[in-house]
Amino acid sequence: MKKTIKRLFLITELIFMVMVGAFYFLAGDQLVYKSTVHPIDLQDADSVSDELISGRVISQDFVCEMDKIEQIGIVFTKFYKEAKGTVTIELREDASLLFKQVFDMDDIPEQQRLFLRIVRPIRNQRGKTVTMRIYGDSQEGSAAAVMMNQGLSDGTILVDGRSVKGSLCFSVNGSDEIWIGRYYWYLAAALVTALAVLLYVSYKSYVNDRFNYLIRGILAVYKYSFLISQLVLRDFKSKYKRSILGVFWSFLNPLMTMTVQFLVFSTFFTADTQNYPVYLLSGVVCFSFFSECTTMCLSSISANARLITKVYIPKYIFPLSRSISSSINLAISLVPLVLACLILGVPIRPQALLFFYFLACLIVFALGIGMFLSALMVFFRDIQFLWTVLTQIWMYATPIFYPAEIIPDKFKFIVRINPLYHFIGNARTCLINGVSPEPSAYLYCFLFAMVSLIIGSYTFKKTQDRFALYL
Amino acid sequence: MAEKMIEVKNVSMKFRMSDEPINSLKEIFTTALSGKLKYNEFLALDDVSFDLEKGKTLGLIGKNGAGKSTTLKLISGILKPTTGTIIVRGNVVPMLELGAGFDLELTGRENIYLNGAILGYSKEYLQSKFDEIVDFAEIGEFIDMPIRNYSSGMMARLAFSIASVVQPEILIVDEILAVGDVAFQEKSYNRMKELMSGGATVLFVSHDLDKIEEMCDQVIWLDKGKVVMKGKTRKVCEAYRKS
Repeated sequence: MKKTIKRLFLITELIFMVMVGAFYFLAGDQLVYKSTVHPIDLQDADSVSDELISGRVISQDFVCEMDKIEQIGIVFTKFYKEAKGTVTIELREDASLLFKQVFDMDDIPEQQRLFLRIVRPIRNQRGKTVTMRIYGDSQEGSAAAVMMNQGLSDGTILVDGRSVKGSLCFSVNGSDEIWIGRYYWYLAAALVTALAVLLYVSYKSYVNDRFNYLIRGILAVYKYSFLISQLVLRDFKSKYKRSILGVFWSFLNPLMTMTVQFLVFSTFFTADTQNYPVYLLSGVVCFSFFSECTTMCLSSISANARLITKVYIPKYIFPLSRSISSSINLAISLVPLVLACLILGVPIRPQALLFFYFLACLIVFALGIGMFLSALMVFFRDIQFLWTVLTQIWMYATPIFYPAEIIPDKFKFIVRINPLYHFIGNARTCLINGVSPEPSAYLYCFLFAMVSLIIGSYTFKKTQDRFALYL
Repeated sequence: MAEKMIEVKNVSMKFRMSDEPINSLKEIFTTALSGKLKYNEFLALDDVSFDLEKGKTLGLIGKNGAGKSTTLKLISGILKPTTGTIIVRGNVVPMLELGAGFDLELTGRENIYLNGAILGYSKEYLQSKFDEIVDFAEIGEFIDMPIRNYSSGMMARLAFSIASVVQPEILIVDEILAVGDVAFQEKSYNRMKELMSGGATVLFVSHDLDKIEEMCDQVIWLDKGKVVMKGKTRKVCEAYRKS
């Protein structure tokens, strides 16, 4: 036993180190930068600058308040005419040229933003004044002009060195550095060390036969692993017994739910959502796991009343085994999700691995809620009916079949405090967009899961001695 | 002096009983509002103390509602005492209600593993004892059939075989010897004696005084949660018969 625990701890530590290292590469830029809190927003146009005929230079200064400029948008007009020639846009800081791009007139949209993606982002300009210079080589009559705002803006534009009150209609977007990126390896080292210390202390207290929560938990899992596996097996066998398709239902179910919802909602939401079917299916898979797991846990104690009043078994085994069988179901229903990704052309990037972090948080969260509900169910049978309604409400309050963007600002707080939105939303970012969410998302999801687990297991522990009396 | 396997010290068990079971929010509100939320406290065990040495067999006798089953449940850990302490050393196999963990949809084979796991046996142990269980239960070719098709006698036999296949340190028996037909009763009775002679410490509840006299070293007579008398089997049984 001593050897097993030692090996288990060493493997845990190693896996943790690998995960921390892999995370750095998977999270990539999102670990270092987040979109800036000081973008320059586009202003409404109310006037037009002078035409960009050959030799004319229009310039405007702006103060850069971000660490990295990534994108600039400018609104031009061609006066709805055939325009010829080119337009050049430059960014300068004092004498040095930061960026320059030449556009052909045909590429410039009429009174819509022309986006300049700055491929090699401009860094280290925070707090400095950047000059944007725009000039063209067109003949008079076939030249473009920049849209301006003169009514509200009190800035100054220079046209051939002559100042004009107003501002050009342009926007600047970029990102700010976050401290985690700079200190990631220190943080990683701290976490790895903390885990090592924890494991070492636990191991020592096991060797010296002192009480330790971690060791006790491991021994309990070890002791009852056979029972847990039998209970999980029973859940599966009795669930699909006497049904012809059996386990196939585990992945037919989400597919069918998705198809129905897709047929109903696709006309409303496809336009503004990238890869709507995958968006929908990932939401459906996650939410059905949550509702199945909590509902199964809810009845886990009361359904096993005969056992609990006849044989001594640690009672947490029942919600735990139910949530394990739901998790296996979830794993099965990931198969259609992956298939849908492949068929619908969502590229599966390595970042999709981060999806599992949020799934793990979701599972722990559901277990916590499930333990809470199963304890409550012993004392108030009404909770089973109430919970059906509550999950319905929760489903509509979570962006599953609709995009989060359509929620009006005044109700945004509902999704912000909704843990399921965080789990599902971040999981989707990893899977569909192939990028990691910003580091704080990991922390929030971890905290949501832990708070739920602590509340659930605390309630359970406090009430479990009275279960046998009320069942 | 022999090692004490079970120590029960000043144990009381109080049940709160409402006149009707209140199981729903609505009932709680309505009863609370009408001021009828009263509990009758019911003392199932009142300051009971005893201990049991290794290898000894203790019988519990008394009328219905005397607290025999509560005592067994307390010792097997299903209930926690209101006051007092219970110390149990060794693994307990409770034969309280056999087959409590059976799932009717599963086959006999699957149920052997499930029920064995519930009783705390390991996988390897069950695998090695599997044939013995099936033979003893006389289930034969029905083993791979869902047990909802079993007769009640078959189910009881299977349950007894699973529960009695171990060599427990502490065995708790609540009148389960009346299982199956006469021949199987005889067989299970012999198995029980075999377990007892194998060094198990046994707690035994029965209304059958002859069985108690035959099997037990000591007897405790309970009435309304109180110990009326405890001591040598013959003496206590005689006093109980006279009452």
